[in-house]
Order: sequence, then structure tokens, then C-alpha cells
Amino acid sequence: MANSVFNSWGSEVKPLRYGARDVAAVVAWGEVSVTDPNIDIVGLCAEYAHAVRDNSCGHCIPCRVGTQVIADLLDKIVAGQGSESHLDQIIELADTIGQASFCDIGQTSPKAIAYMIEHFRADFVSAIKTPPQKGSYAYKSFVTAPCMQACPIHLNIPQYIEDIKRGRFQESLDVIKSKLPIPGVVGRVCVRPCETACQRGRADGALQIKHLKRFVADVALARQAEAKPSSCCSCGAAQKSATKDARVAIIGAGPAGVTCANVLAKEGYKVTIFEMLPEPGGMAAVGIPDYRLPREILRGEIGETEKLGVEIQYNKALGKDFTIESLKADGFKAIFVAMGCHTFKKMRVEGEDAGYYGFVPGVTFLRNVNLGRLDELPKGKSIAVVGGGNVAIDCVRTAFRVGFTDANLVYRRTIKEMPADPVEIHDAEAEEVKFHFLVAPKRIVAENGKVVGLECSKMELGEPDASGRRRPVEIPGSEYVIPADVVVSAIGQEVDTACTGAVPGVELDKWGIMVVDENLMTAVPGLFAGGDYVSGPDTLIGACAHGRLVGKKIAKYLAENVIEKLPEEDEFALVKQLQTMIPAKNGPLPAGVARAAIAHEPAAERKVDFREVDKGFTATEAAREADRCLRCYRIVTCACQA
Amino acid sequence: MVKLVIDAKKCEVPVGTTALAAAREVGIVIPTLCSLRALRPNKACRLCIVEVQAPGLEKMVAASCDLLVAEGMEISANSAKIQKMRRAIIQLLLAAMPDNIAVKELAAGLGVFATPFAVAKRDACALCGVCIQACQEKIGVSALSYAAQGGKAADAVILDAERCVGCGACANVCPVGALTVQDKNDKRELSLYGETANVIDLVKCQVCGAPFATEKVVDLLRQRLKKDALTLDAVYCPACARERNPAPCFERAAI
Ligand SMILES: Cc1cc2nc3c(=O)[nH]c(=O)nc-3n(C[C@H](O)[C@H](O)[C@H](O)COP(=O)(O)OP(=O)(O)OC[C@H]3O[C@@H](n4cnc5c(N)ncnc54)[C@H](O)[C@@H]3O)c2cc1C
Ligand code: SF4
Ligand code: SF4
Ligand code: FES
Repeated sequence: MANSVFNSWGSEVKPLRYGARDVAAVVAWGEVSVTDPNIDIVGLCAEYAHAVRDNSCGHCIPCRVGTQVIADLLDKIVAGQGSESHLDQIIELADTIGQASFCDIGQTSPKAIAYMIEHFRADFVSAIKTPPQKGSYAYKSFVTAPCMQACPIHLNIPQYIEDIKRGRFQESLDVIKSKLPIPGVVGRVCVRPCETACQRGRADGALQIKHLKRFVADVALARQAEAKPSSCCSCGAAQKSATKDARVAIIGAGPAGVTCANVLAKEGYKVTIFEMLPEPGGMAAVGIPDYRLPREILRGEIGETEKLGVEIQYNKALGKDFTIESLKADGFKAIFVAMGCHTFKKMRVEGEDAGYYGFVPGVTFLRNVNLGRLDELPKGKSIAVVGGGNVAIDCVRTAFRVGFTDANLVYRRTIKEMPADPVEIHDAEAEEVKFHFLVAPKRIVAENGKVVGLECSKMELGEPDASGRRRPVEIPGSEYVIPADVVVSAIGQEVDTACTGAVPGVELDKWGIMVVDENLMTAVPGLFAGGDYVSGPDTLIGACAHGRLVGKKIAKYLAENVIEKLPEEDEFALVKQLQTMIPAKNGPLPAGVARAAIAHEPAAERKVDFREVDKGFTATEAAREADRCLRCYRIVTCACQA
Repeated sequence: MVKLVIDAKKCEVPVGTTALAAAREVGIVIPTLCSLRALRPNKACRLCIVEVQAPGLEKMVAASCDLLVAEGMEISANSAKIQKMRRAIIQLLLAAMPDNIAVKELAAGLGVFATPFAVAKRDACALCGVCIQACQEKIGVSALSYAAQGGKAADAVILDAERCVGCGACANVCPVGALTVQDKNDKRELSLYGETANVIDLVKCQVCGAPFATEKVVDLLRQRLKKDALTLDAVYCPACARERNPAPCFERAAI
């Protein structure tokens, strides 16, 4: 018995939940946290030792063999066949494994075992004398890693990197594809929360996790092309067909919709996607420009999902061609609303609604370029784009590529507060975009109904606002005009709520968006919503994560009429709670091989066409980068009240 | 150049040198099982651990084969603590493969002749993965892999006979003799853990008629040397090739 409530971090002990259950104790990160003083520490320790042994990858000798030895000794103790000398042997071995092993599994896990024996020696000694009664706890063990935890879809990143390191590129891709059907897309444009969390950042720069993903996707494409040089990707393998009767409707062929369709098709369901545009991919197609994400990559990867038997009906818009009620009447047993955020936020400046020639919202500008409707773009040489996010950067950089020669970006705070990706900002600078910081738009200046400029005033930073960023305050009398033939507003997107209208039984929030519960389901059983539609303008990988969860939930709902969380949701939620107890480790680590640099097309050449800017890794570069991974796996074992 | 101290010996080595190489430079012996000059650090055996104190960082234990030197580093390569840990590591390996001659020799070198540890499962090899690495990194074939990747502990190395070209590099680098290669009756035979893992036909030299490489190796070379017409059709063993064109290959490459 622990006899007390404590954790080995020495921080405040917080109650923890694993799904709906209370957690009695948890071992993680080589540390222990106990919330139920009656917990059987010896049993917990043995359980954890099993998990460590089972998760050792077997590469390091001390970890592979040593964790087996420790688990065997603890089994003996639990079975009443141990001796006190075993306890000292375990402690000493744990120290060697902890110091001599390569990765966090070997380095951190044995520490927790030694800690439990040192602090609760009396329990172990009494267990040796009289075998303890098996407690009534349910144990759960799983692994996580900082990068996996940060990834919205929780890809097993250390695993796919390890496979690259060992030259097993197809296996690596399989690890990614087991959760994410569009690796080549995400491997190009993901916002990389994993890299922000990467522990190698403490030494000599985070791993190039995104580019490694792109690498394995590119290798697979190159191998396909080699195998059948003259054929295109869509005419290869035969179409699969559904094995189950229930049909599912998905609204929107964006990342969320496609990922959901992929999951369901693999489960054998017949899926139909209704898409209002003539092109699949959502914002990945009509938002993100081709120089960041070549269209054939996107089409190819969505095509793979179509080959699983998913049907995409184009030019079919909710609210115009069908309604949610009509889908139900057509016999669809489950519906997923994944139509993203496709209308734009207003700047609320004078002239915005005057219908001037030369004023255009950013999403419209990009959509017209991306759908090849160049004659619908306002003509001119100079452009001013308002906004500080990725959409704004995409607009200015795209402007060069459709013939503008003077591209300006207007942002009301400084470069430090810009939400856009620093890599994107850097690339835009290289292409000679003119940045106007601490400047806010006031009025669109027009002559004879045609835009000639943007009147702005200068700002200074005041007190921090709710988001923690300092609020820009106007400097009176600082107005000036940036001459521009075209003005673009790119300050945010919103959900188009008009097309859903009222759906019987579904609650709408104050903006008119359908309210969903923690399982992303509305109050109507079988009607789900996710992606940007639910979270607001977010990220590709966030949308894919929603799509995957909803896919899994719909499959379970159709098969068993049950809606519940996946085990991994409970696992990652537990780690999230744990992280609030763990003091952050930020100290530097010794530096070694630095983060690989990415080769680009030269700025002056690339900015006149839509060629892809970033170049991929070669096999040698990829293996070398993969070799930098520290494998920061952490094993978590928790004991839940039965 | 980087200046550092290893076991009280001052040394100066180029940037990018590993601690293991630097120690060898000044004559300090560090035991290794999985380190090969031709390969990137494999980091598996952990016998090469040292204590390192880098300026501004906490003192820590690290594998010297994978540790890049830094200005002002102080390294203890053979402290009592390190020696004790090394003995524990080799005792563990000895528990997993008690009958292997190479392991016994290595253990004896560290003063270890018996192990206090017992494991239920014996390992057929050290599972260091050097063979896997050589096949991937140097040959570019990736025919070898661990039986279990990631998730579960590796307990064997497996050979994909389809991918394997029969070059024999793996057998040459294996530190415990778990992989062997033998040429007989115009065939090359690769054995893994004492069992035949692959048999590939050998090709004969057009000049002397001696079998010298597998067809798959010759094919691989042809593929890699596509542009070099000299090598396209003719098949010469290394000895005859040298005789025909005695200029060292770097001179030939310059032509
Ligand atoms: C310019 C721009 C650049 C971006 N860059 C990045 C980036 O680099 N990295 C990143 O991670 N994220 C980026 N994003 C965000 C990312 O694209 C989105 O978060 C993601 O696409 C959301 O996916 P979704 O499936 O939820 O919605 P969407 O991708 O928006 O897809 C929704 C789909 O539903 C369709 N639809 C809408 N209404 C209807 C209707 N009434 N009937 C039928 N179909 C309908 C739409 O046509 C669309 O195809 C960017 C966004 C934009 C706008
Ligand atoms: S790499 Fe990590 S998990 Fe694998 S054996 Fe070494 S310490 Fe254990
Ligand atoms: S070093 Fe590897 S395991 Fe660790 S956080 Fe970075 S990518 Fe993940
Ligand atoms: S030689 Fe360094 S780990 Fe084996």
C-alpha cells in the first residue's frame, strides 16, 4: 500500500481520469503518481516492468536483456518466490539501463521501478514473505512520445522515422497510412506541431518530421511510376467494392471528408461524398497554392481513397441540390458534415461593400487561381493583401505568379505576432514581398469604381489582449495610402451557415453552426460534423484527425449501435492531464548533427510560375536525418479503479 | 579543431570527430561491439559508454561512438563507474547468448567469465543491427530487418531472400558470427543462425573462369554504373580486371 497520495515530481497531485474511470496510480516518464493510498505498489511495479520489457525495441543490449531480467525478478517476487537480494539487483540494473541506453524507454522507465522499490521497500519485503492478494485494479499500458502527443492525429512518428533509418521506406509509409490517407499532402504543408514538441529541438534543431513524411510518400510514387511508366495513377489497381449494406454520406471532399471516407471504405462501407466544387481536396486544393502543394499529389492521394470504392459526386451543394433530411430519406444511415469554412471575414473598412473593381477576398482570389479561372481575377500590377496568417502569405506569393510585380502585405502587429508559419514568411521575404508592419487598413481608395490604393494608419503596440498578444493601437493622424490596383482581404474565414439551415433535432450555436458533443456527433444519432466546420479555420492534420475519429465512430455505430471514445482518445487525454503535473524539461542537450537544410528553387526563378518550391530529400539525406531521432517514447501504465 | 581532455590526456581533433575516435587517437582503449569505421554509429551495444562533462551541461553517460566532441569536453573513458556498467552490460549479453565464442572473448577482455543474470529467452545473435545497417547504408539493398520493428522487442534478424543480392557484406560485419557466407559448386550460400537463408548462382569471370560474384551483384553494379560503357557487357573478376586495366580506378575515373 502506498499509504499516501504523492507524485515523484514533487508537484501538486491532481486527480486523473482514464476515460470514465478514476485513475488510482500512474507510472510514466520514469515517475510515479499515486492518487489512491491503497494502491498495490508491488503489483503496479510488476505491471509496469512488463510494459517496459514489451516495448523495448531490442536494439540496445542493456535495455533489451536488462528489462527482461527485471520483469522476471518482479514476477518471482509477486509469486512469493523472491528474495531481498533481488531488490538490490533490480535497483543496480535499473541504474545501468537508465544511464547506458539510447532512448527514453531505456533511460526513463527503469528509474520508476527503482523509485518504487526504494520508497516502498517494506511493501516489496512483505510481498516476498507473503504473496499479496491481487488488487481489484484494471491496468492499462501504452506508449506516447512528445511528437506523437502533439500530432493531432497521433501518428507513430518515432516508428516511421525508425523505419526510414533502417531503409524500410514502404513500411514507414504504411505506419503513416494506417492513420492518414494523404501523407504526400501533409508531408508538404503540415503546420508541424510535432516539430515544435520535438525534444531534439533542445539540442541542435527539431527533426524534419514533415519532410521525412514527404520523402516516403515520394519514394512510393517514384516506385509506382517505375513499375508502370506510361500509366497514370488512377487506372492501376481494380476498384474495390463495399461489403456492408449501410451507406454513409459525407458532405465535403476536403481533408476531413476524405479521411473519414477512407476509414469507412476500409471497414467495408459504401461511402458517397457530395462536393459542391468540381475538384476534390477542399482548401488543400482551392486554398493552398500549387507551388506549395502540386495538384497531382493531392489528386493522386484522394484517387487512392476513390479506388477503395468511395464515390465523389461533384457540383452537388448542400442547401441547393440536397438537404440533410433528403439524404436521410435517400437511405443514408450516417452523415458526416465536413464542409469547412469557405466564406470570408469582413475587414469592416470603408469601401469594402462598394463593389469596386479590384477588391477581392483572399479565399476568392486563391480559389479562382486554383481553379484556373484567371480571367475572373482583377487585373493590375500592384497588390495589397491585408492579414498576417498563412492565407495572406499565400495570396501575396500567388500574386507574383499571376503577373503582379509589386506585392504588399499589410499587418497590424509586428512580425513576432504574425500567426503565419516562419518558414512561409521567410520564403515570402526571399521573393521580395514588401511587408508593412504595424499598419491597419482604414479605407479602400477608388476612382471611378476602380481600386487605386489602400489607405492605412500606423499602429503601436499597447496592452496584451485575451490572446496574450499586445493589442495594436492606432496612432492618430498617421494615415497614408499604399498605391495598389488590387486590394485583398485575408483576415480569416467563416463557416457558411446558410446552406445547412435548420435541421430538425439539431441545436445550432449563435453563429448557426451545428453543435456537436465530445464524440463529434450532433443530438441526432448518426449525424456527425467535424473539420474546419466545427473547429473554425484550423489545419489539414486537425481536419484529418476529426475525419478519422468520425470514421471510426460511424463504423462502430453502424455495426453495434454504440457511440464511444476510442482507447487512444483516453490515452492521449490522460497524458494531457499528466503533462500539467510534470515540470517541463527545457535544459539544453549536447549538440550533434544539426537539422538538415531543405533545398529550394531559387526565389527569382520560382516566383514567376507554380513549380514546387521545396525540394525533397534524397535517400541518404533522409536516412541521415532519421538517424537524429532520439526515440522519445515514454511508457505509461495506469491502474484504474475496477 | 576542437580541444578536449580524455582520461587526463589532452587531445585536439577536427570538428565532427566522435569521442570514440578521439580516444583511439590518443591511445585510449574503449571496448566496442557494434562500431565500424565504415558505418554511421549503430548505437546498439552500449559497451562504448563514457562519462562526459561538456561545458554548461550536466555530467552524463553517453555512448562514445555516437558522441561528437565539443570544445572543452572532459571525458572519463574508463572510470570505476563506467567499468562496472560495462561489466553489467556484457553480463546481460552473456546471459542472452552464453555459448557464443565472440561474446565470451569480449567478456573475458572485460574480466567477466560468468553472469549473475538469468533470462528465459536466449538470443540467436547480439541483435546489434550492424548487418541491417551495412545492407542498407553501404549496399543500398535493405534486405535485412529486425523480425519485430519498434513496438515489440526485436528477437531476431530476418533476411528477405527476394531483395538480397548475395554480396556477403552482412557476414563480413557481423561481430558474433551469426551470419556466414560460403561459395561452393558455383553457388553462394548465406546462412543466418546456422540455417541456409539464401542460395544464389555465381557468375564466372570471362577471362579466368573463376566464379567470383553473384548475378544479382553484377546486375546491381550494372545498374549503378549505367553510364560507364566499359562495365556494361564484360564480366571480369577483380584480379583479371586489374590485369587488363592496371591504372588505379581513380585515374580511370578521371579520363
Ligand atoms: C489559403 C489557405 C492556406 C492554408 N494552408 C494550410 C497549410 O499550409 N497547412 C495546413 O495544415 N492547413 C492550411 N490551411 C487550412 C486547411 O486547408 C484547412 O484547415 C483544411 O483544409 C480543413 O479541412 P476540412 O475538410 O475541414 O474543410 P475544407 O478543406 O474546407 O473542405 C470542405 C469541403 O466542403 C465543400 N463544401 C463546402 N460547402 C459545401 C456545401 N454546401 N455542399 C457541398 N460541399 C461543400 C468545399 O467545397 C470543400 O471541398 C490553409 C487554408 C487556406 C484557406
Ligand atoms: S533504442 Fe530505446 S527502446 Fe530500443 S533498446 Fe535502446 S533504450 Fe531500449
Ligand atoms: S527526437 Fe524523435 S521521438 Fe523525440 S520528439 Fe523528436 S521526432 Fe519524436
Ligand atoms: S560501439 Fe557504441 S554502442 Fe556499440
